[in-house]
Amino acid sequence: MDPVKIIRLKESILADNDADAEELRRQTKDAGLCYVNLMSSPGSGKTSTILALIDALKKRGGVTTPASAAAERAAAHATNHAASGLTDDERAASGLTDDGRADAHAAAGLTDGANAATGQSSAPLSIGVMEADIDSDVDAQTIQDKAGVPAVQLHTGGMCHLDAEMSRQGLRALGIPIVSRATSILTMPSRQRHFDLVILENVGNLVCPAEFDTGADLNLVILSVPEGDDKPLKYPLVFTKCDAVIINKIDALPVFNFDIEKCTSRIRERSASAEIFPVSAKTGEGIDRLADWIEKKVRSRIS
Amino acid sequence: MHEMSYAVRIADIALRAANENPAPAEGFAAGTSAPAEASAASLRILAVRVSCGEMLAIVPALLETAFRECVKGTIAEHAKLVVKTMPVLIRCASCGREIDPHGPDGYVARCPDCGSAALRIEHGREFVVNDIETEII
Repeated sequence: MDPVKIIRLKESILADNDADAEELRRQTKDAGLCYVNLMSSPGSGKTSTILALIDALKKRGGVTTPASAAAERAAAHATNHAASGLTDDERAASGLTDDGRADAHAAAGLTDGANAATGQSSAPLSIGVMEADIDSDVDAQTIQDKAGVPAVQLHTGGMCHLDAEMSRQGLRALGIPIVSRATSILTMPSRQRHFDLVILENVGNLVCPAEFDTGADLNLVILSVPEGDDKPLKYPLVFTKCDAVIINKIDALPVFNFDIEKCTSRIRERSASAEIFPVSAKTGEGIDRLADWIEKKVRSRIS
Repeated sequence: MHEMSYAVRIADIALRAANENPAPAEGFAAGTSAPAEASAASLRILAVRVSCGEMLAIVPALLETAFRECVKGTIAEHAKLVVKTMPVLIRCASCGREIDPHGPDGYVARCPDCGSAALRIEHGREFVVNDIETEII
């Protein structure tokens, strides 16, 4: 009898996190949330771009500060009713008084312009941000101070990337009730909030975040002009996997030998389908086009 | 990078597979249906064979070192980790032509035959335990 036996497996080593990430995408879909992962080298302008993006989204249709999930539902309910032309009796029957509706509207920060007349599709987005760094809460503080949206700081404890389960912890810190297999009742947020869009500013690193699926719906990479137009050659995996490349700091083009055409064609060698957005987070150039694309993606995901 | 995390996972897969495929009891008496007593023979893992896509930037030598650490004190402690690096291979989804990015043209944005941009990475991103080799000792 041959004592040596080969046991065939063909088992994926990455499958655990990949499957977990798929599960998170199902969970965020159920929660009406679009989760966006933003990656880059340190110093490319992730935080600045997030600020510029939120600013642009505010100008387009408004950004709300989420009230409790219950108030959000009440506000949406109220908007639906007004749009469908229900009588006062019918509205009262559904449990919403005029006072309640006014409170819910105020709580959800809806402006007059974004009420029934314009309909659901231009309702303001509620946005949250997760900042991931080894240390410091500088970025989360900046987002809250300058953009006025909730931001949580994730300290990775030295880890150079986030995975799906770490994403869940961050989402819960924002108040979104997303369950992990190991979650006990004590770790679920007591004050729950609803968000339409959560942006993860991943750890500044072009190598590791590409390897680990965070469970996001959209993966964005920022490449800034001072870094050089050959970046896509040096970091193949991240440029292959991303949905969009944001070329930031185009206001600095006169000072650097950066060829946008070359950079674009190098990106195309990695990804035929990635969108490319040349922007300057500092001057605002190109940001509207990016905001337009992201808003469309978010609305189609959450509808 | 992250070779240690991956090594732990590979060790897990290999040990679980060995446990699920235990050594049969030795000494079935020929021509009878009665098994002899199970011997004290046990299983050990000789080799674990892995395919690792080159685009994952995982360093085989580091993976092997990490693996040796992970399996100390287990039935895999003398196992050899054999890492086969899978070069990136691209295939045109439109006409089926293979494109080798290691060739003189490098990574192209369009298929040289049909011009399609629908190029898919067929190899180079996988990371799989293919099989384990076990022995009864």
